[in-house]
Amino acid sequence: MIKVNDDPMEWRDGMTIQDILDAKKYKFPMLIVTLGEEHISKEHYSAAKVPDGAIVKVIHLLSGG
Amino acid sequence: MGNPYAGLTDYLAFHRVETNYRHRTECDTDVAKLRAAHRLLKETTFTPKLPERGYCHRGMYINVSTLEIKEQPVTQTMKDIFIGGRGFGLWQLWHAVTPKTRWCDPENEIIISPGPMSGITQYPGSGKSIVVTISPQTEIPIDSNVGGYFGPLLKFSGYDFLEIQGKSEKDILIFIDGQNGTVSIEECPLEPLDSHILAELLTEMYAENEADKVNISVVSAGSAADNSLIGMLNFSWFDKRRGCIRLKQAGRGGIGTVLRNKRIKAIVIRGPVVKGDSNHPADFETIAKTGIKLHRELRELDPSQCVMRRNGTAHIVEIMDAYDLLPVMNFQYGSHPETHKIASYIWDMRCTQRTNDGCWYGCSMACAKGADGLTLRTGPYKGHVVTVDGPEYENVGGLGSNAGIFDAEAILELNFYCDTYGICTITWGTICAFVMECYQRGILNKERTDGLELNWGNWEADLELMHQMAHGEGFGRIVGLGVHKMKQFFADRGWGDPALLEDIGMENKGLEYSQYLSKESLAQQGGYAMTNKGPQHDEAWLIFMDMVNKQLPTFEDKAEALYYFPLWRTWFGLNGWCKLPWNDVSPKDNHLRHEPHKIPEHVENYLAMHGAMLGTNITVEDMLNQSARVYNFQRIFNIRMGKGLRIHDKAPYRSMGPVSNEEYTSREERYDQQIIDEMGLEPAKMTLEEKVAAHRAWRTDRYEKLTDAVYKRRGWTPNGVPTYERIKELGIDFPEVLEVVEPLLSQT
Repeated sequence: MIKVNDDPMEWRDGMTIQDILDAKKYKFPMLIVTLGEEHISKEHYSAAKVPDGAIVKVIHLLSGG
Repeated sequence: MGNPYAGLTDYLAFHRVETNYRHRTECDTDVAKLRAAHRLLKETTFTPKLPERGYCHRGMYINVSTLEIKEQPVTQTMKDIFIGGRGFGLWQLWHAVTPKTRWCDPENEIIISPGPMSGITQYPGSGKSIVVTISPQTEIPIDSNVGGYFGPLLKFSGYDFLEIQGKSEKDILIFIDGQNGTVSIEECPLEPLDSHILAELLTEMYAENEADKVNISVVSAGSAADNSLIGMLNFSWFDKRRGCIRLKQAGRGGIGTVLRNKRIKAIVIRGPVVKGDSNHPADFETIAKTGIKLHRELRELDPSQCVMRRNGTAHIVEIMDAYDLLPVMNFQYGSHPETHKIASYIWDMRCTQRTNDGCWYGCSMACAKGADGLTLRTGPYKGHVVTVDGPEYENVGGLGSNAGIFDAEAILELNFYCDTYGICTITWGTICAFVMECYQRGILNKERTDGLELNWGNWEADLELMHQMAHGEGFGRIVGLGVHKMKQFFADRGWGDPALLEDIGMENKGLEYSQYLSKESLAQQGGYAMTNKGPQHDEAWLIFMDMVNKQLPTFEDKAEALYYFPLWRTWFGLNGWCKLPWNDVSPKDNHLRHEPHKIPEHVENYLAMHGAMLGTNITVEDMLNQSARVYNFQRIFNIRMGKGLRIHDKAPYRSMGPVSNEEYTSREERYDQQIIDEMGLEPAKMTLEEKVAAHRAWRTDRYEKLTDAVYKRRGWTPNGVPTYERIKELGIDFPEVLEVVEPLLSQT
């Protein structure tokens, strides 16, 4: 199990950041993604492997209007 | 993941329109004949001047009853406390009206003020104006921000605001010539009302030659403003490349209705040739350098971020759908299987690209897209080929999905007629969604709608209803009252359960909601209903922060966001800035900054330019206090006019949770989980009706708790009244202000 924006999510072997974004339908183009303390840039979404128990934050940069 | 749009090739091929962006039906009206029919009622002269450090230190007052034209001073107190734009508008309006003034009284005013930063040509999004009046819909002050050239050209003619009072007995126009220093009030009996023609004709009439057309801007409404409470204002600019006028809108609150109630057909300005330093800033170099930085950022990053330069705000249509936030069928649902038919790539193809789409000079965000070559299928201009300004996201959501319409060409035609008739697209979208749901639920039927079958998706009926309203006919006359008054109208006739009408009528303070689903974001529910003017997203759009990012877990966190963002956004309206370049593009290293969702580098840009214009430096805290003065003054203005208290911040339940069993079922898994997690109940042992009721009790209670937290953070009493301490701290403790709050504060 992992946590994405504080919500629990089922983990599977080989899971990447891109898999999470697809599963959550996070389509907004301006995101700040962190895996634990590490910032993951857009070009690494497909390569960044997510370990079991990870804390993932996907901050959408549209706020305030 | 495969291509989500696979199978749409035929649809796209059909809809790809290879247009000549200069081709449209020409207006064949004889301009000389129109002008010959004008009768000059008043003409006076003034000395044109350019601003110094963003201010001209005077406003222009025109009374169309008495034909008085005079200068109004801009005092240091006005600059210190009210800054400009919305602040100046509210201050002038306060002194013009009494608590008894209604929107249609001669005392009511329309004030247009661009703000000290407006007219910058180096930084994108720096040409805005704010329009203020007593709204026919809400009966309190409305403020509506608008692009187009009028505001900056007014300032470069020598005025920080234009203040119009009185009521004419005949149709008139006002012409301000900022090149020759004349103002005239002219009777104009023959000009048509609809804006796409009127603005074209008046641009032709008052420009000295083709090159001078860019110096003309026209403020007008449209025929619907004569026959409804929801009329809006169009502000024109001349698009040199297309060879036609374009329109931007001050949409919310019925300001166009006020203009026409004063029998004003148009306000025309002819400004001087705009130069890069027309504002005479204290430090031009800083403004230029800051602008270059953002131009580069937009050019490099926009293609991989919001693609505003190709799609404008319509880029978020499919995004809102993916997050269950797109309003579908009167905000019942948040997504729809046919959204791909109105998604951004449709507008990318349908709008002409690589044209002049900035609504003020130097805006490289250029989001004012234009769809050329639309052949109209209905109404008085049937068969005409026109250019449509838009569509923006709100138009697609309001005119499209919220009415169950997933037909791009129909949305364009609705968009065109809204603009030319002078109808706010957001308001119309929410009104139509409401009457269509009433039709779905049997509250309305063909007999009550004069034969119109207002089924979801019936764009032809939607357009017919709009034509009726514009011409004061049929069921259209009723619809033109807006949702708030329609609820009462239906209830008075025994049409439907009044409680259900209250639940599904998406309005607050008399203004219709804009086009986002707020049910799953408590902060956004407050962001809509705890606003000064009514539920418009330009105070606080917090859905991602709250619902998706989970950055606002407590009531206090939400209250803090509902403190900061409305004040931040107010500041744009005081100064004449557009909000879009703030956070529809973000710097490459933004993720490294503290509170990256506030786009700190861009906040610094604005503070730097503010300092460079005025020659004074302010901090974020100073900025928030500048806004707070005006924000709290507006709250007290609302109280003065009979609203502005806790009861007026109540939200319709449709904005807070599932009204119907079908809505519940559409998100059953989420709602059942909330019953377990948040309420400690067992959904498996409950009927559907019990679950809907449990949610209503829980959500209503949360909203009340949020209200308490927000009022506390804003320095207001539990009834929503700014406290003495807050009023004094902000320096707005004028005797006339204290007089309004004293009776309420003495009760607490």
